[in-house]
Amino acid sequence: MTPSDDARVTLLLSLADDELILGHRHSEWTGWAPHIEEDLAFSSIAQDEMAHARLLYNLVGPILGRDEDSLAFGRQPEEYLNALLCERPNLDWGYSIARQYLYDTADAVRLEALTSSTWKELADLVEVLRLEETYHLDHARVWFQRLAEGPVTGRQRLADGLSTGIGEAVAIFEPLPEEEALVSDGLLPRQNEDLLADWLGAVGEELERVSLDFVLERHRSVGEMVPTGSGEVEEVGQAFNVPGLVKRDGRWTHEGGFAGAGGRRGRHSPDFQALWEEMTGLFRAHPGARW
Amino acid sequence: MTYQDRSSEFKARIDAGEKIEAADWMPDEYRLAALKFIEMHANSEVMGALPEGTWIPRAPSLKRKLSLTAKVQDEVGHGQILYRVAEDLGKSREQMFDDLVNGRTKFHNVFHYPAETWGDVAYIGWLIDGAALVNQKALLDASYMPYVRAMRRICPEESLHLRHGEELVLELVSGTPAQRELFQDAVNRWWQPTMHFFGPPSKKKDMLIHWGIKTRTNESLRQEFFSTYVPKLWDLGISVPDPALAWNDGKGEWDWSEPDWDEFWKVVGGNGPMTQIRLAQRKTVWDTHAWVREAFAGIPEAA
Amino acid sequence: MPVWDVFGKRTPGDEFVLVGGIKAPDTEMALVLARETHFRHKEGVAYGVRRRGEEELHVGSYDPDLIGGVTDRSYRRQEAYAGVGGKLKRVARQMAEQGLRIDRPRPPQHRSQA
Repeated sequence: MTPSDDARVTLLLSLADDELILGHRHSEWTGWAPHIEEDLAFSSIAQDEMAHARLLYNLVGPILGRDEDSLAFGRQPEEYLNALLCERPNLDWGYSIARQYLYDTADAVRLEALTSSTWKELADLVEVLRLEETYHLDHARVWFQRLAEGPVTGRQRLADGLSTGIGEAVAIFEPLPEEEALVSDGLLPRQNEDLLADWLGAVGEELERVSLDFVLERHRSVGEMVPTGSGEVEEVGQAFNVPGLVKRDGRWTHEGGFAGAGGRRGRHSPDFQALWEEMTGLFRAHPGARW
Repeated sequence: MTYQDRSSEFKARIDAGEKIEAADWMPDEYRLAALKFIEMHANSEVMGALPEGTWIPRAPSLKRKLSLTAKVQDEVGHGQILYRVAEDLGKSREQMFDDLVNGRTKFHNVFHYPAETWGDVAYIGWLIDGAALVNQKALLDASYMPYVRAMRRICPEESLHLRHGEELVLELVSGTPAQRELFQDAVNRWWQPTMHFFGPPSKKKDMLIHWGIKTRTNESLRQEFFSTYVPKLWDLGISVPDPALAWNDGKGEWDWSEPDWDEFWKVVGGNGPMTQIRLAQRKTVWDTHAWVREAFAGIPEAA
Repeated sequence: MPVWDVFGKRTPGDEFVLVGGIKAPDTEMALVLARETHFRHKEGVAYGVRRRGEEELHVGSYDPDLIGGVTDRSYRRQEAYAGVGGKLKRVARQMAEQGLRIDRPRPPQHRSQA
């Protein structure tokens, strides 16, 4: 069966919206990051994500007869298909860095698969995007190492951030609407379930190497993150098993449900409304204006 | 050779146009004057990131979302360059940042004001950057070479920002009536802070001019700003809220109304509309991220 | 926290020249940070960092093409704004035609009508 235009659009918008919304969040650190050279690095990563969104919108735009700004700023909240992970506020640096690590490692798995997409323009574009993503991965890994292997407060902040983000990071791989058709036609060369398995296996190993794999065993919901000053992880009742994450034969895998799913169907968290109003307000206040 | 003799010889070298490097002997007055000036410049860049930074999440097109992020990123970058120069004059960046967020050091008046609308973003991008560029080009002749090298990097980036700001202005001015009004309104609110930006009438003995760190007076820089930007504003049909502002052929310079200098001193003294809010925000982020500095240093930070 | 001197080569045939400095806790972080601090506008094809007080230059491993980005960066390059001066003239002309030009005393070199 051939995927409908709708399915192609869903695939592209889920990619583009992830990049736009997360790029938007990353860009909020510009001028505020806790180390001035890091401010510059993180801002470049933010710009990359937004630029990638722009390229993806321009790929899907002709199908919909809409331009890049109309897509980025002119849709209703339920029409955005980003993962919930991307729309959460920046909280503190520990969460933001953990999120960058979780997202970019996941994105790398997804993009690698898409280089074999039968949609040639998408495959070609993805090859280019991956070149820029290498820096994001280097950046994430350098921070991951330094915090995981550094003083206990930094390690704790990283662990807290990972705990807070891991459930929704898994949902990056929430199956898309019409995914079967997309896969059988090769637009999406591999099922999200397979991509998730690869990503989780790799992340599980990295976390085990630095003894942070406990974050896969329990997570907090975003609103309840409690910064700890001690070296202990607080068991205060709001921590619970990450839905669907289990260890089988020594490897972390996902089975069953997703926490924080719904993004691919336009169902967002309460955080999205405020983001959307801020991001689209000026555009919508002056319809048709040029800036 | 006495300290006085060495100092006099040093001053003679500067007056002869010689340049000073970081490793050269320098009198304490020179080192401290240069440090204070460069530190304030660095502070201004990082505080300058804030008014425009608030519009990154609200930018009305992808192109502008990107270009504004890049512009604010460059301002942070300028801060990085300048703090590095200042650090080599003997004060740590951590100490400079701590002093800034705790209100012990100063930054330019214009960054104590809010950016209320996209009209403000355009104004800041063209005219505040324009004013800054007038100042910064003059600093290319400063006596302290590390600062000159920093300015050689900063000035081309500022020129780019200026063109970007100009483009934002032109879109507003040639856009809808509502867009034109956004810009005119911004001009009306930002003109006095811009006049303040060049500083009060220069003191008779300006230490910064004495040591060759500043090479031009506040008045001459302000006049250059008028000549560069006012005719363009008038060509665009945008008025300036100073009824006295006009070229005086007889004097060969612009007539203009002195702004309220009390307001200037109040603002740079820490009582601008956004001063305390912005410093408090910066201080909160600085304090709550001590753990990052600790992770970088590998040792626990003192409370 | 150590200061690192940062070196860059503008073209492949150049020697490494000092372009500035950064602060970073270790070599890996220094290499990651130096790239966007000093080369995000494509100021070089290769770069390296050297910790103050040490001899070794650690060279960044990125291909020249990657430094400063691969996708369209025109929104932050001079070339993209080359037409702005011309645009100002055009808009000024429109304003004059609409009678909006403000006719107050201005310096001699700015007196010509758009």
